[in-house]
Amino acid sequence: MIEVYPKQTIREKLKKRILGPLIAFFTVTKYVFIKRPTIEYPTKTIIFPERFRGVLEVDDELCIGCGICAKVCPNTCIFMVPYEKGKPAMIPEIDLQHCMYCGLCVDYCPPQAIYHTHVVSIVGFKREDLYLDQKKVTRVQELEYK
Amino acid sequence: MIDNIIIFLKSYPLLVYALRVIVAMIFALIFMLINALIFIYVERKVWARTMQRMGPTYVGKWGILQLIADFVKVLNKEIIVPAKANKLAFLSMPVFITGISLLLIIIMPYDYVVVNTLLVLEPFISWIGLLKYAIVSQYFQVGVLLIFVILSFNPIFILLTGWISNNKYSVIGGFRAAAQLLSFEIPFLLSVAAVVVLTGTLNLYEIVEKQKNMWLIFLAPLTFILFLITAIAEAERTPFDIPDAESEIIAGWNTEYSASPFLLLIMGMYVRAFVSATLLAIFFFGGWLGPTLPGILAPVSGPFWLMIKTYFFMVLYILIRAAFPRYRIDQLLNLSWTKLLPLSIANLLIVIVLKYYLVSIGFMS
Repeated sequence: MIEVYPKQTIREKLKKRILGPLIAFFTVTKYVFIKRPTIEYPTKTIIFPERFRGVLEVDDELCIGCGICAKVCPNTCIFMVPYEKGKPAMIPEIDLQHCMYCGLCVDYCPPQAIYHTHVVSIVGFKREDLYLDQKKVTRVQELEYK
Repeated sequence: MIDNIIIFLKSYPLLVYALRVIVAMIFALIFMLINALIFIYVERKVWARTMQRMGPTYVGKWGILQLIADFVKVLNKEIIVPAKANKLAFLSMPVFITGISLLLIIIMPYDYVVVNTLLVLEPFISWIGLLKYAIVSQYFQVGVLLIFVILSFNPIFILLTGWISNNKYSVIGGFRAAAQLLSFEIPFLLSVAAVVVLTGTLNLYEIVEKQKNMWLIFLAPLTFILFLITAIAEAERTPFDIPDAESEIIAGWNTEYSASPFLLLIMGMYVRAFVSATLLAIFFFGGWLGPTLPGILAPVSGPFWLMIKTYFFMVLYILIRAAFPRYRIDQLLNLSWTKLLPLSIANLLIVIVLKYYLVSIGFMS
């Protein structure tokens, strides 16, 4: 059975033809004036939520060199190396190219020495720029907001 | 020294006429080119704001130098001429199209705008008073007709441009563009005929003078709507921009144009769009009539109101471009021949009756 739809009355046709474009036009005009979510990064940044998972940083006064973060990392991007200042004996070095910011190392760290910061720029000209060696891993926020 | 020059010029009247026209044309040309740049900048910013993004912000404060950067970039490109195309004709077409579009500026009251803003400096520099004689557009007694004569050269040259590119898509684009422009000219002319009937004159300055009592939009709103639609079509802007639709037929009739010729064509397009926005302001919204605001000096008041109205319509064109999709070519021609043409004829009859009534009650002479 072929279903036959009732023909559109002239009133409905006019409503569709005239009201439709007017609503479209005024919606578009509205968007010129409302507050927009686009920001001009990097001169301005948005305020991230408190638990935002940005680039990792290590606090060397709390770290005990146990190596749990390296064992737990699913991508094996954390490597324990001897620390030149001596205390702790080993400190994690993080490879940012492979880190997926899952936060497992932060969850498992006993003294909570490794934590997420709100830094989001993971850019560099060389591969070495994307590898946080023992000098950089304790100063991530300082280097970013210089 | 000024008196010596005046005495010398009085003996050569033809030289005086030529000088007046040349000065007016220089003013109008500079004004027009600056406004075309402003149009492109405002279009990029407003269109971006409708999409909740920013538009150019990096080059210069608020991105105003972006267009100069684009201009320099385009100049560095190579001018490509198709192998089998006639090189002289191919490269001269954009010059013709843009040149003819730029002829419009001498009829429009842009020299009035520039001269009146320069007359503000009269108390400081005494010889600027002579510039009063450089307003040439008020002597065009058939100004309205001349505008349409110039606008109707477009289909011919666009067709020729599409043919000369040795590209079948350009030919199709040229035919479509010519069909669109020709078929929208008839409702365009009929709605302007309604305006001319209401005011009784073809001179742009007198049309504005006749609107002292009431603007024409209140007397003939249907004419305004018709004029708006057909002016957008004649300026080849969305939703009627099938000729230079950037994602259909590649680029229509100007596919083969590369660097500087393309820049000329774009400039011509924006000149025509700006002129049609000004025409809207002059015909329906009372041109340069408006109350003298306290902070603005007397001679600048006219140009100020004209420019405010023109920029308002410019922003309206941009918002229409952002809001609506593009008409297909058969829908476009259908719209023009079956819907706009009968409407414009009916509108003309209504306006004739209205004019008779207004004259009989003495509202308009």
